[in-house]
Amino acid sequence: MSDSETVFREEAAEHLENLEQALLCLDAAPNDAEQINIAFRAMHTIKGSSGMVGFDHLSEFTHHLETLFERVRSGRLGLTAEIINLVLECKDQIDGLLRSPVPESGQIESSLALVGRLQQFTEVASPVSEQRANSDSDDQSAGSGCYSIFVRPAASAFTDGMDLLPLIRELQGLGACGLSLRLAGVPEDPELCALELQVLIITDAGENALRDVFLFVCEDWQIDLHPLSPDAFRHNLDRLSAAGWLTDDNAWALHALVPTAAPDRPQASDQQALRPTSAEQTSNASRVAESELSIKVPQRKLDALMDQVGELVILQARLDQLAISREDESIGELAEELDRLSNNLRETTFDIRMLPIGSTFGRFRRLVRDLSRELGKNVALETAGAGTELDKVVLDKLADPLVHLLRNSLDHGIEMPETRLAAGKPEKGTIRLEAAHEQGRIIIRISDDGAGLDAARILEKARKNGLVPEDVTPDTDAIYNLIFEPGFSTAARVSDVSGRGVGMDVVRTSIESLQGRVQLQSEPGEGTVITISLPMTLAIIDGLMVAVSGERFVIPLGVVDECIETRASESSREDGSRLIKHRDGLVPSLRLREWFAVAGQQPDIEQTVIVHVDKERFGITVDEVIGHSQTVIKSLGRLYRDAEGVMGATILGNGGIAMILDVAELIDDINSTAV
Amino acid sequence: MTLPDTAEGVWSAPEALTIYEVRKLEASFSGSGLPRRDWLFDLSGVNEIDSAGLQWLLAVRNRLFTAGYRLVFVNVPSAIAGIIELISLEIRQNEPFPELVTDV
Repeated sequence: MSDSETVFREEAAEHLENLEQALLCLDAAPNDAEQINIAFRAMHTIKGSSGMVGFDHLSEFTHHLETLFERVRSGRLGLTAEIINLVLECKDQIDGLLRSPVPESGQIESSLALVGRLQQFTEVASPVSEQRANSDSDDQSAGSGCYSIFVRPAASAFTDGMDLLPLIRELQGLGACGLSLRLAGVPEDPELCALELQVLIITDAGENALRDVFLFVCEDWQIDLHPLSPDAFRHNLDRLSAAGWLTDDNAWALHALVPTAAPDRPQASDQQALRPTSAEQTSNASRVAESELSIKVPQRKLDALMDQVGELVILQARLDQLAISREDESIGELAEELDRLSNNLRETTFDIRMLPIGSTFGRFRRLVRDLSRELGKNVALETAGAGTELDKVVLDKLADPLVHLLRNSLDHGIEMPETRLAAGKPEKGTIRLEAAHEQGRIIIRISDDGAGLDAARILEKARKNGLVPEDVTPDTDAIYNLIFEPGFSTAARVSDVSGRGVGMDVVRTSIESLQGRVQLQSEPGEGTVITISLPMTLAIIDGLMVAVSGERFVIPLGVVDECIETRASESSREDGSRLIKHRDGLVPSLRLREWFAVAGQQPDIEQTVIVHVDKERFGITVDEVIGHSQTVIKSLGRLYRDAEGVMGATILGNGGIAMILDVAELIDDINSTAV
Repeated sequence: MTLPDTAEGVWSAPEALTIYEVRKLEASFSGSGLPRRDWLFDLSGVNEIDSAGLQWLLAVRNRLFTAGYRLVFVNVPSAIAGIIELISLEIRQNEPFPELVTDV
């Protein structure tokens, strides 16, 4: 796949996302001009850029959607739920057409069927209210307007994959044109663009439609577009014709079409040359400045950068160690300086990879809309914390579990409207999706105001499946957590949405593979809250280095509360758990020496690191605490992947290896021992 | 790349005149030195042209025009006729455009 094709696909995906979000907004507010413009521009841009990279079928298909939105924009067609549904179908079709420049026969048939349905609206466009039409009068004047457009493409236009010819054809489609093309000098390199285009056009499409022709080049090309009075238009025609830039036939044909009355639009008050005003130049400059605010970078390059930062962090640790072992002040100073620089570099690299979770939230609005209709339910999706950022790798892997949780909430959580009304609830159910940073982690909550979990049914099913013995009755929270067991489902029917019993355990596994945790709370009749806690990144963490008989371990610093001294003689056991005294209470604890069967002499005075996961406190007893460590996480090989209580490993400054503890898993194990 | 047929002053353009061909085309023409005479460019075989190809044709035409010769495009396929018309004017198309006005 060529670079230009890759860039096209990425950009098209963004435009489709914009289209979908705009459509979902228009579903609630069909006359929202801003959203209509977003939808139009998305289609317009995909149409233009797909034609440039050889996706001709896609270009033709999106042309019909562009036409539809052009009519909506001009007030000649009103948006209805039926049209919005149709455009959403078209958006899905475009998703498929983006896979290959040459569509399969089935795709072509689908396109034709959709175009036929679109044409039912575009060919018989019903007028909408006068008020709407009048409000758009800036774009659609009564009758034709005259314009002059000067176009100077960027020198790199050809090599950027941009072509002037499709734009010329598009202009010709909007009205009667006089086109003059010149070479601004002799191009030294035939691949550098030195063309300039002067256009005189009479059109009833309006100024916005003309500007939209240049929508995706306006930041890099010089585009000077001016409305002209009829007299000015004639004057300019004569000048171009007299200088030989237009044929006489072309000039006479345009003369005949010049409207007799000036269009209702601002005109220049006196004769002035068509040069960009200083305000326009400032505006162009600011657009360029804005475009420089962000660039697209392939993910593999970011991954490579992160890998190299990881290696740098390891090297820095080696230098630190060298400085200490040699007691050399100059090396120590260098190590400190490198420490500062590598910390900054690490922070910056992290920041580059962070993306707002809102980009994922956006996709769910469509899911909730479509599924709620399919299920005959009335559901609103509320989101909060869309600006919360997390590592792109985490974000990508989070999408599928969230989809499943939302489907479950929709299918099993939110009741049918009549059931809700009978229960004294609003007919419309609400699913809330929120994200926030808490204690160095990302917290995502999916809550609904539905029926809540049915503990009795869950227990009955668990006993039937042999998950819980008949003589044991776990507490309610433990019963709720049974839904995360493999193969568990209480759905009386298997729907297309969920209820196949293969979901919630996969959700938990997926989240745990991200070093995350899932918690569930439910209240019968009130609803269910699922809380996901995730690390902000999977690449490097701040850790507390500890040691047992010289073996190093890393405890993620985010869960560490404090370190206390403990004695072996103070330890005690109760229900299989070892308890230590901490302040006024007892805290369950484990010795890493025993857990990992580390050989060696146990010291009389040990160090216990008090950690927390959510509200639970817990002690990890070690021989000594080494100190803070920036830890580059390396995944464990296949043999050690299932090692309990370990999330990964890291390479030490001396080339040795330290295990990174999965504290949540250790706590689970202690809790299960206690049960 | 086929060099221009200097005996006849007729050159048959390839199927594509695009960004991917213009460098080779330019090298071919400038390498042999474009003979000073009127030229016919037979475009009958052209089925793909983009702005870069059009610019190259225009540059060749301007060079000949400056030297006092003409370049005429013949057998222009209908699919590209409208585009070729843009560079078929009886002027040297590297003169500046006249200054236009917005109102009189």
